[in-house]
Amino acid sequence: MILYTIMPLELVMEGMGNQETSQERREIEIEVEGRKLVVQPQSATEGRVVRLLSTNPEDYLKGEWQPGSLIRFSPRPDNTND
Amino acid sequence: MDDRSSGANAVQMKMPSTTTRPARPAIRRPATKPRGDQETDKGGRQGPLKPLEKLGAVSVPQPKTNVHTITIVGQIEGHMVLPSQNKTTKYEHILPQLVAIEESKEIEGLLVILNTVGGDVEAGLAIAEMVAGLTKPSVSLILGGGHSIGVPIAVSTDYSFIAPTATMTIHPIRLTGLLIGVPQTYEYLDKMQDRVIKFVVKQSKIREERFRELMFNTGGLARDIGTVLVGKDAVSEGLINAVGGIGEALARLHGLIKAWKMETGRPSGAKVSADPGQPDLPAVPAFQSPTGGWQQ
Repeated sequence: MILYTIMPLELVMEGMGNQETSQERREIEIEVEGRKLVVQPQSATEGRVVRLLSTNPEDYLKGEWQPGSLIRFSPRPDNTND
Repeated sequence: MDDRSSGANAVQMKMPSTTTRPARPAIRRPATKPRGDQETDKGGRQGPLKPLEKLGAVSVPQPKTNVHTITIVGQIEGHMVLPSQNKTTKYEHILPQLVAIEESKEIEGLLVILNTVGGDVEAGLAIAEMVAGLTKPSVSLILGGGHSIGVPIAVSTDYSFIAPTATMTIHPIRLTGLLIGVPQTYEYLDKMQDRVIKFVVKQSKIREERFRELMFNTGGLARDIGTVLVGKDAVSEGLINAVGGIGEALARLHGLIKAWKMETGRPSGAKVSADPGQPDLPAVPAFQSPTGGWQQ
C-alpha cells in the first residue's frame, strides 16, 4: 500500500494496531429505501445517522436522513455486518 | 393552469377561422357531468369523501435531477481500513456508484466535489480512471483542498473548477514500511510516481516537465518538497480549467450535458442505444499462427 497524502503518516496510522473501537463510536452501514446510510447503532433497531452514501443530491434534503437524526431499521442479517 | 390559459390563447387566435371552437366546452360539460353525479348519488356521500382519501397521500412527486454528485472527502481509503480517527472515502462505495451513474437512463451528468488530503494511490487512481472513462459529462469542483492523489481525481473530469481559496499540493510519493536500500527501490518508486504524473498530464493541460518541476520544488513546503497551488495558480499552471464555485460548476455541467445530447442525438433522459449487438468488437484473434505466437 502506498499512501500519497499530505497528512503526516504517524497521524494517519495512529492506533493502527488496536482496531477495536469503543461501542459508542462503532459505525455500521444499513440500507434504507435502496440508499446506504452509515449509522452509529443505539440499539438493535435504532441508529444515529452519521453519513448518507448516495449520489442523488435530493436524498440529502430528506429530513430523516440528516446526520444526527435517529433512524429505525430492521435488524436483518445483511445489516448487521459492516 | 398553464395549459388552460395557452389553450384559451390558441382558441382566441384561431377564432376567425374556426367559429365553432368556443362552443365546444359548453357542449362537453353536460355530457360528462350527469354520469358523475349519478355515481355519487348512488353511493351516498362517496363524492365528497373521494378527495379526502387523497389527503392521506404523503409522497409528493418531486422533480428528478439529472445531475448526480460524488463527494471525495478526507483520506481516500485503499485496501486497508484506516484507524477510526481518519475521515475516509472508500473506493468500494464510489466505484459501484460510478457504474450506476454510467448505466442509469435518468442521470446525464456527474459533479465530483473534492476536499481531500490524498490517500491510497491505487484507490485514487481507480476512482480517477473510472471518472475519466465515463461517457457522460462530468465536472469537478475542488473546495478546501485537493491534495496529492486528489490531483488526478480533480483532473479526471471533462472540466474542472477550483474555489478561489482552495489549494492543491503536488509533492512526491513516499514509500512506507520496510525499505531495502537498493536501486530497484528507487525504480519502483519512480514507476509509481509515473502512473500519477502520466494520468495528470494526459487529463490536463500541464506539461510533464512542468508538473515534475512543481513536484520536486524545494522551498515551497515547510516539511517536504513540492508546491502548493492556491486557486488561480492551479489554473495558470494548466492543471485546472477555471476558478469558480458551485454555480459555475453546475452551469458548466448543464452546458456540457446539452452539447453531449446534441452530439449523441440523445433525447432527454433515455439512452438511444440501438442495441449494437456487438458489431464493433474486434475480431477474435486467430487461434494460433504458424510461428506459434498469437496473432490479432
